[in-house]
Amino acid sequence: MNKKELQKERIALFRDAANFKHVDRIPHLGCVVTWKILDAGYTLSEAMTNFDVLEKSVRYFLDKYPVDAMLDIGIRNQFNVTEAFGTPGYYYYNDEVVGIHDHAYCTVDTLMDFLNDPDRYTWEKILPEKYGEDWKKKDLATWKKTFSEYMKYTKFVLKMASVTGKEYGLPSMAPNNPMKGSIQFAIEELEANLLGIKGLSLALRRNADQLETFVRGWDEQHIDPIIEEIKKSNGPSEKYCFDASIMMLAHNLLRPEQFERFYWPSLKKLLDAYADKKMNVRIFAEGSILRYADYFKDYPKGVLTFHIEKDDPFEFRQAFPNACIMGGMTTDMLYMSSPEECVDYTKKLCDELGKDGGFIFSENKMLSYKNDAKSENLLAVCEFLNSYKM
Amino acid sequence: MFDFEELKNVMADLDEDRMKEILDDVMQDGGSEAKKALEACQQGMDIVGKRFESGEYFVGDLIYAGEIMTDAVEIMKEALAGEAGEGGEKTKMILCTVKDDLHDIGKNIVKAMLEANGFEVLDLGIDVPAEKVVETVKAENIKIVALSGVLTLALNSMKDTVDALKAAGLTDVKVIVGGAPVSENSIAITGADEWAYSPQKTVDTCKAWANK
Repeated sequence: MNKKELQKERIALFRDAANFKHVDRIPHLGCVVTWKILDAGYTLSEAMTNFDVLEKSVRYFLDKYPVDAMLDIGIRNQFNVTEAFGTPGYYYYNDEVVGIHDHAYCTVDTLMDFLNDPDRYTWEKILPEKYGEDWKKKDLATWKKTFSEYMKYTKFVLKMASVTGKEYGLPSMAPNNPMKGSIQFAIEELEANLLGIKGLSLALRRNADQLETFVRGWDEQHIDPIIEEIKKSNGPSEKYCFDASIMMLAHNLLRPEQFERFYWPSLKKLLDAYADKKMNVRIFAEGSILRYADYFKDYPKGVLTFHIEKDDPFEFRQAFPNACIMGGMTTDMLYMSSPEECVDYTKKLCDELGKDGGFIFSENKMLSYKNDAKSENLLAVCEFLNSYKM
Repeated sequence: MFDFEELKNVMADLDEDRMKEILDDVMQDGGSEAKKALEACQQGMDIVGKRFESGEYFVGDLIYAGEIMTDAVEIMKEALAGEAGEGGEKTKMILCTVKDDLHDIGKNIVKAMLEANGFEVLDLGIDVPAEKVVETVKAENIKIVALSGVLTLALNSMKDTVDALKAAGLTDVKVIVGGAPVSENSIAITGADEWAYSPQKTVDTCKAWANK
């Protein structure tokens, strides 16, 4: 089988599992981010500004661990562009750790300024506040250098897509949304960037009406156009494992009535549009999503795939019988247990969750730090999944 | 005479506006009953912690509770300062996010709840090396240390901190670890005395240690 055929077979494997069809073996999404750099013997400091090291790390990983797809093909957390423009940034890294500081672009009172003209707001507010006095010193040479680095990064992204696809037969997980970007709900953007975790937590109680106005405005700009494009589409694409990918994190902050008011209306109308076209959406649900099970219960099988983090997969199956489960293997087990224990648990997951499709194996967190997994454990699991026939 | 039962309940219900109204009333005479009002707020925070544990409250509620508790103390600051020493000495303890970990939201929630429960918390901040904890324990004669972390890597730093305390002969210092990667197994890994899955568990454990 050549790499193109392998890629096609893997897409079918993911699609069948997501549609609750029987699969011969359980597909494995490698939910691996910076861990692969450390496993390849490099430090994060070496890799974050060096495309060569990043590519070698990806190749080392794929030569060693036979996964069916990867969450990150070596293109996340790359710092050439931001460092060309100058520090400080919101991200930080050293030899072993990469992370992001909680930050806020707006106050509740300036949210609508951002929404009405994000470019102007970014230029006049966000960047001057981020760079302080240095902002005034950004000269043409700095801008040129930054754009040059951005173009190099773009080429690297294309190269890695080609390397992983053509040389390793790895499929792409999901396309960009029909508006050519990632899907971001207002409440997620508020938490991640605009107000920050603390700012959002306070605004949810102190400024609920203002938040709701912003959420509806955001939907008009960012969610409704996607829905219009979905309506025009021809349904599922054979080029990807899923038709869309959504990240959910902010739901962890919310009370049920807040979810109902600020999150669910936006999420529901988008999921309804995908469901109408029988398209499958992969939802990376950080933290726990169990308490929201009732909201999702009416979608037929084949629409939802939840990549779960803290939720117990067996409990999740009971609560979400209509959703394909992605995940199951905890970083705790991958680091603390033996290869035999990891394989035994993997077998249990496959047997109990994947007999009739509906299960895709993955790690519950994005493997990022050295303690997130032991190499021998991940290797044992990968080999088991490749050979275990359902 | 103020209705401190109501104050406790509005704090527990996170009714910020009513809480501030009551505290403004308390401060009308300069705050002669500020201490009782503070105790009522602390009891309310205790209920907040329990509601979080039972699944009635969520992370955003804890962050909000910490903020309004801070505001409550600020409103009564002058009156409470005037009463310093009357309530006996507070138990002083250390709280920090361990080395190589820069997350502070969980730590700050725990700090607010510990302070609400009468602890004097020395917050050493984030990315705190073991040596700094040892140095502060010695300088301030601390007997309780709470270590926080979000990354799995934090478990190594927690162990380093516990080892450093033992190496310095500070074997009577109690250490509790908490945060996303922490589980019951973490006691064996880090050598800590306890672990916490929630802010309330941290508070309860530290209170038990302080009362021994």
